[in-house]
Amino acid sequence: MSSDSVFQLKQVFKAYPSKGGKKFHAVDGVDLELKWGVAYALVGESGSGKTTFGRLLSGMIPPTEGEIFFEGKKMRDWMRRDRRKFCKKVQVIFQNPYLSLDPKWNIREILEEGTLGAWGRGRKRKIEVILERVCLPKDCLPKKPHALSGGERQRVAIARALLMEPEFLILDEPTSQLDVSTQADIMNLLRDLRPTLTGGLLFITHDIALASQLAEVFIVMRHGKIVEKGLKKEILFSAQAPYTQQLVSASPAWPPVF
Amino acid sequence: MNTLIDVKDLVLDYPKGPRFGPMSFSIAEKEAFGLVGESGAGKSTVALALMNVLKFKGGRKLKGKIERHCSAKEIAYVPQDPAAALDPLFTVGSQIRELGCSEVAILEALEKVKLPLTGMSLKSYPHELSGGMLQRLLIAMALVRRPKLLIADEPTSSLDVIHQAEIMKLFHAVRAEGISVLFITHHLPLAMDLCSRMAVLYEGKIVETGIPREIYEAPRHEFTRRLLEAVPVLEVA
Amino acid sequence: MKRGFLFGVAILFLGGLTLATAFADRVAPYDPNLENRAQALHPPTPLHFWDEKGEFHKRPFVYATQMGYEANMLRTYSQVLKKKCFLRRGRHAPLGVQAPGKLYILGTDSRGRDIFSRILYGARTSLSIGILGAFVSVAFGFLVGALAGYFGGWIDHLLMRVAEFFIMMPALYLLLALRGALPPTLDSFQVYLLIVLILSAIGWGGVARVIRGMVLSLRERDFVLAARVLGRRTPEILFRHILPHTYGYLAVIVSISIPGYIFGESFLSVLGLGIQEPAISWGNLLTESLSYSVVRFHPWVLFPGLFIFLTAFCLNIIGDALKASQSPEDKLKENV
Repeated sequence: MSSDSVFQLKQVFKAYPSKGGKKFHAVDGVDLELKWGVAYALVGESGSGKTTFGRLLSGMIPPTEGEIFFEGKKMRDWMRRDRRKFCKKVQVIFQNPYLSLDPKWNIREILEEGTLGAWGRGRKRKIEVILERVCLPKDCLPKKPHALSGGERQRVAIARALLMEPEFLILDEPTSQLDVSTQADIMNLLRDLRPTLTGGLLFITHDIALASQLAEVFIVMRHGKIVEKGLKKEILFSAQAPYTQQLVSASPAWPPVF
Repeated sequence: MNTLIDVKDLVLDYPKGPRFGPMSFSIAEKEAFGLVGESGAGKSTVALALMNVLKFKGGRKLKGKIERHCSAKEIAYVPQDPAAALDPLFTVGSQIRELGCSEVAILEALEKVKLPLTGMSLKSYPHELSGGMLQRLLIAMALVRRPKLLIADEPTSSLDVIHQAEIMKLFHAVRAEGISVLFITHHLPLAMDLCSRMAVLYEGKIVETGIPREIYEAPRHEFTRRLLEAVPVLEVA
Repeated sequence: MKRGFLFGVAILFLGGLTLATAFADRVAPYDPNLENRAQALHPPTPLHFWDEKGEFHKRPFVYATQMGYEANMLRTYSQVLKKKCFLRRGRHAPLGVQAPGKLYILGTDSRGRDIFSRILYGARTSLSIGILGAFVSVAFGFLVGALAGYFGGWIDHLLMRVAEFFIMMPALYLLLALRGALPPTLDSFQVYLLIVLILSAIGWGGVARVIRGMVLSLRERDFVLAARVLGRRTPEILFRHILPHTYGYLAVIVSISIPGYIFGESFLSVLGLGIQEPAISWGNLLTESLSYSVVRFHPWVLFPGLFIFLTAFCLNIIGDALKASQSPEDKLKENV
């Protein structure tokens, strides 16, 4: 096992029960190594198992078969013994900021949840710093999530994750629920954050163009299996798998051809 | 070219909250007209107003004029979320038959959208079909009555890129057949790809109208510029 | 508008009833156990402003009455016109009339006791059984449902089978069986507690199932997953993220289940298995109306039933209003 890997997956399966007692494999035998400090993009259509893959890496759900290693240690052990330590290292941004913030809490309470082990003035200071970093005004603190726009909510979610000072960030389609112009703002923010993520990131998306803005290595997924993995250039210009070629050519031309 | 629908100074008044309009635009025969804007800009409201199915509750009022040079039956609609547009309790086949068209017409329309529907899949329920298939099915259902205008409200926003490309191909084919399309979207590249003319909606008002090329090369409104800049560009380096 | 008006009326009625009940000693015109055999099954006393000569009096008055018998041995009461008994403050109560008149607002029962006073005293038992029963069963159901929903697995399995057993049993027979299994000779306070327990035992199952369902769905919500990713521990997530979203439902279910407990108490008491004389409850006030001939000729003995009905009605209106007042973002709604 090489020491420079963040995550290592060995024959990982995740099955869900489906109709007629059969099993549906959301993740179907994945062998993969994510190297330290690299920004990865996981692309594929919906139902390809992207989200499940992200949840496996974040420890939200255990695999049904196979083993996931984080920094050389089994995920199961992290979850059993050092869950909080793991949480400090790996954070997740969810797809839908309308669902990932508790509607009953105000923004201050939501952000305080990300400050594990900080109290009093230190915590207050930390929150103020992070608000500035994600370009949110201070007066949003007493508001509840429903009073904010989608983009603002996603900033709150990002701020909450950043308060944990993570090394590795998993982004599960962080802009798919937002307007186009808001999406651009959030992408800019994420690009600015990239240097602080020493461990790297995993950007889950179905949009090749978005993925190309943030990631260095592409992983193409379909039906729970890894179709292809390669550097951005390889995937965009000399993809081997026909599915990857289809995926790359499917996005509408921009700039437009008249 | 004959005008199919002419909207003049359309205003939607709410007792509280945002006011839409005034907006004016027209859709000619055999053209694809794009309506681009972000959520809350009033895109879907316009579509509903054109079809005359807008609900006037809570004191909402419609002013202005919508001139239709075609009958209401000649306007067809493709919704945003195909799964929500079909009744989950009935089979796909029975919902097609509800349209009251001959089987030949139905099969023809299905062929047009390249949906390989055999007797078996007509017996399937909406949830058993994928999003892309459902959307193609709805387009077929819209085409079956030989409409003059097809209103598509964000027809691809719940689909993946691959399915989106397929659906866009279909809309090109629909256009080539001489059916007008009102294409409502938040995704500028799609509108520019399909439409011959387009309008940009911002906060309930049309801020720009023109042919896509002009708008792309010389956007006049600040918001259009912002939209153009916001489209994610493939970064190769 | 209409809902607001109904809600206001319901709050007023229940508030007034609760206050009157709490201060029954001061409000009730008569001692609820005072028997006036000479005026048994007396109809509600009408208040007059005009006397027999058509003369108007600012202060309303009643006539004293005299009992007589009809040919079929039915009691009748005739007004004695000579003496007007004006309304005045009673000895304890704000309402009373001058002697020898009697102010029976809702009439008297077969032993000549004032029904209105008895209703006020009976409300103490009935309302408190309803409220206590609803709280105990909802609290218990909430606890069981939350545990089952959050931990899942065999805990969920076990708890839900038990809950289903109680839901599945026909409530009527369970009520009778539970009461029958317990000793018949108990003092009235013990019986009171027993009834609360029995009613709660029947009611908690449904609440547990709903709460479990809510917890199961909340558990998979993104904000709960986010809290887990943020390293929060299970109890913390349960109490801070999951359960608060069920409180709105709890408020609704408490208010709409109180009537059920009042009915339960009445049912047991009418059958003589619940609150026994001399203790008073709405249920045992209704034992009077078990006899057809009494109801036929003295319909006012049904007034306790009217109070049960009105209370249930008002609580339902309040429950509906609570349900409607929950803001949209509080409602369990997935917009995906």
